[in-house]
Amino acid sequence: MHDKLRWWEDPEQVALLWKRFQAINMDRREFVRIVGAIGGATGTALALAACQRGEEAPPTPAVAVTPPPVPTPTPPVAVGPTPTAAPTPTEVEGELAEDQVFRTNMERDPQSFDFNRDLYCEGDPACFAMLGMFTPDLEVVPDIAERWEPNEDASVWTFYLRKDSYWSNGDPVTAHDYEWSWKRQLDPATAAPYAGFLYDIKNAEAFNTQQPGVTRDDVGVKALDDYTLQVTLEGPRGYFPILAAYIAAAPAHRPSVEKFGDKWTEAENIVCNGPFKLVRWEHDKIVVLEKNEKYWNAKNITLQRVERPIIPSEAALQAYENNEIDWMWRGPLGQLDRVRSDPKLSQEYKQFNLFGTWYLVPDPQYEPYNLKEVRRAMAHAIDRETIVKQVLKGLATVAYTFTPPGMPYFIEPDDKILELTEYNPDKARAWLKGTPYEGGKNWPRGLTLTHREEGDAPKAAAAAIIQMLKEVLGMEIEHIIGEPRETYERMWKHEIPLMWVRWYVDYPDPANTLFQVWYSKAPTGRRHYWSNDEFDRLTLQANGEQDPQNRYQLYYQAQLIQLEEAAAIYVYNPWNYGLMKPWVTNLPRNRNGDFMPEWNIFLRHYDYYKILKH
Amino acid sequence: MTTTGAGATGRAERLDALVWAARPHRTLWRDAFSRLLANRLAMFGLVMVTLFTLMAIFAPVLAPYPYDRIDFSAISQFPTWTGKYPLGTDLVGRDMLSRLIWGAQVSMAVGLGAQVIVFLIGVPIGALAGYVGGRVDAFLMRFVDVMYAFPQLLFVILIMTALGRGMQNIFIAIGVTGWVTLARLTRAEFLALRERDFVLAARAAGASPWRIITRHMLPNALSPIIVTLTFGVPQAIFTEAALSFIGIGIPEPRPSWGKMAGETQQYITSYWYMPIFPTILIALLMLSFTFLGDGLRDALDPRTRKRN
Repeated sequence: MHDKLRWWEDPEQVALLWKRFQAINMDRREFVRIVGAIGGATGTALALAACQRGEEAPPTPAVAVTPPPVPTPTPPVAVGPTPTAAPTPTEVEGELAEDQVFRTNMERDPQSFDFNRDLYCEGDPACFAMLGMFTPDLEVVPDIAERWEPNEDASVWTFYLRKDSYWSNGDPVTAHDYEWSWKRQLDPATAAPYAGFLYDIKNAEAFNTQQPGVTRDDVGVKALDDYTLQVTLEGPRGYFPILAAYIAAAPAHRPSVEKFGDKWTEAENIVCNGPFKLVRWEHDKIVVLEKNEKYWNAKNITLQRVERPIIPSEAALQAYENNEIDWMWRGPLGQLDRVRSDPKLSQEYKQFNLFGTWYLVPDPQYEPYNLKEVRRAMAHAIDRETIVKQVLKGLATVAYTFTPPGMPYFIEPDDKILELTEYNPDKARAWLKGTPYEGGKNWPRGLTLTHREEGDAPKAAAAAIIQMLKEVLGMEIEHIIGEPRETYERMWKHEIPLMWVRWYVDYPDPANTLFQVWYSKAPTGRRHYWSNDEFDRLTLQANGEQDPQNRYQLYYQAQLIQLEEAAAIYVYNPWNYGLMKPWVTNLPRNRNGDFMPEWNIFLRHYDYYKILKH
Repeated sequence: MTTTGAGATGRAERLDALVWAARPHRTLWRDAFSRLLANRLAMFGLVMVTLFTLMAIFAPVLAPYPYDRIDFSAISQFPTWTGKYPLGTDLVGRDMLSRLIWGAQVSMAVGLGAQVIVFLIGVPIGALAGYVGGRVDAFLMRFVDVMYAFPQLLFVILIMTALGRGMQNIFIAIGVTGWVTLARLTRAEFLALRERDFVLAARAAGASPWRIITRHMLPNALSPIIVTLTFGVPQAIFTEAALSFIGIGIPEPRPSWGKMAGETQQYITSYWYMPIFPTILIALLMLSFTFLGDGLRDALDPRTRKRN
């Protein structure tokens, strides 16, 4: 544990990394994924603890939970001093097209391409290359830096840049570029909204917050020569290469910025160092990228051009069918039947398990959900089979428990669980006997079911649930679809009496489901109001349990308690679908063989795609 | 011909005058109504608006099913024209026909209710500004300018958030934000009318301002007002749809035409009937109001009478 390089085993460092990612509003889920990719289960446990601890909480020794056992430790190859080489795309079958053009829509016109100032500028990140990059498995491998090494306690990192990578105008990419760019981001005059991401660098925070006596030159990043970048940090930071590979650490081209100011990322001004360069940007219409031949790995990248017409998500399918785009990544439920029955589209259909669960939460603070009998009655009134098969047209699986199938410690519904959750209208009505609502009468007026705007599938399922509760129990429920952010804020404040909500699993362990969502004693608050001491005890104990059999039993018991109380009604595990034209091959895949489309962390899908003759 | 004179011609003339006076008395409105009756398009509009209104009022009787009844065995079923679901079912398995009939309630209420409020606010303010002029006019028009500066949807959202959800709040919100155009228009009409001879004559005859405004100026300004109000109806219907779409309009599962069309338009390639039927009804309603509005204008404005 004293090896500062094995930072994922050091709670202090994990907590610091979390703080950095919080500075750029990164989702806790993504953070856990990144750490998990490097540190395996130990890393994820600590990452979780770091998230839960929050910034205000007193620094507890190590973590509140014992890290779960390490089933298959991921070899920590990614960020060590000797990283592995970048992936070289493989050969593909079939004849390649002469024009290697890939087309996929952008949903909105980007604000700019200045990732160095604002990583959420909504431009295409392929225009810039960082010192390292993420693989589809979310590990960091070298990019502009060919290698890096830390000092003894990982508080000073030296990056050795490759000498064969150039900006799109022919300037060499040097260590000075990164030094200048990171200082630009930290400069209070730049007013970069997420500068906090770089606060691990020595004096970065002081410079950014304009502490007296701290100047630009005091910031701990220095180009020793053209191709050596030395970064002095505030302390041991074994994870620093992860930050250096994240899009927030992208460089900007100094002469362009100095010449054009805010307009430097317009197509006619921009100079890129990534695998692609911006060549055309007609606002609100289209963004066109072309391969940057001067990028070091350009010879291994097949695509010549990327066209990104600006098409909102509702119109994307039509654009796909009109052959305006090659990849549509968000398909509506209302088009699913036709897509699947269409002889052509069905061949191009790609479905993804979202590894999550949609569930209904009756908050026991509010009438009538304060009565356990009512909650149990509701659990028996919802016909999950019908929702999955009819309403969602099979693009989901039935859920009775929280952990989705395919994840370790998935609880196969046995008689006991079905006893508590099965669809049975008579049983549902029987539960109301003796309550004020016996016979489906006297329900309080103004009952509501709330969920956030998240596409048509959850909405259709919610409508079905409302109807089932009405038919079986006589409840009259209004259906409220709220603004996403506001709805989640209200959920965390426990202001929503009946919430229809989902949880996407971050990493394959039930610590992430039953414990993460329902443990009620976390210092930073809890997602749902319901709490149960025995449940808390069991899930906490399960986290530290080494024996898989015993661990399963603990989770099983906890799940039974929760279902017996009907604190949540689990309904289905969602899937999603997209469409990829058949001539796009060599898709990026993770080590399980699953196609990984571009995502906040893994950005470099264009490096993989090859276009067949068509 | 003169009515004064003596002798035989004089008597005959007096008889003429008597006959003339014995004719049934016709007011301006009655006159207008008879002209309206003669206008076939306007009558079509009137009949359709009446039908839609009746449909809205008697929705509980007319609709074959409740609007929220789901048939899980018939999800997104295409129209069969006869049988159980003649116009098909929506994405959740609810009868389209029933939802369309029920949707008339919300759409008609919002469309008409909002226009009543628009009329009640917009016309008095515009009339006052146009008739009185001077400082009052300047003050009111600056106020109108301020109101114009707000993006309407944003303002509606603000009001909805303050008032809470519910049908009456929707038309209050749309009405309170939608009157500015009408106020400006009324003012412009009044400014022009104020200098006309008949108004000057009325003033010279000692008519009170109230009488001048209501009896002399308003009827003459009515035609553009009616046309604006008529076009405001479909606009209000669409605003309601936008509100429902972002979740602060009519709460689900209550249907409205605007919402049905708005939500399902993205499925037009898969299920054409889902957006098409409500769109047809909205178009029909809008057309009916337009015909009716045109007819009213022609009937009320003697200047256009000859063209009929």
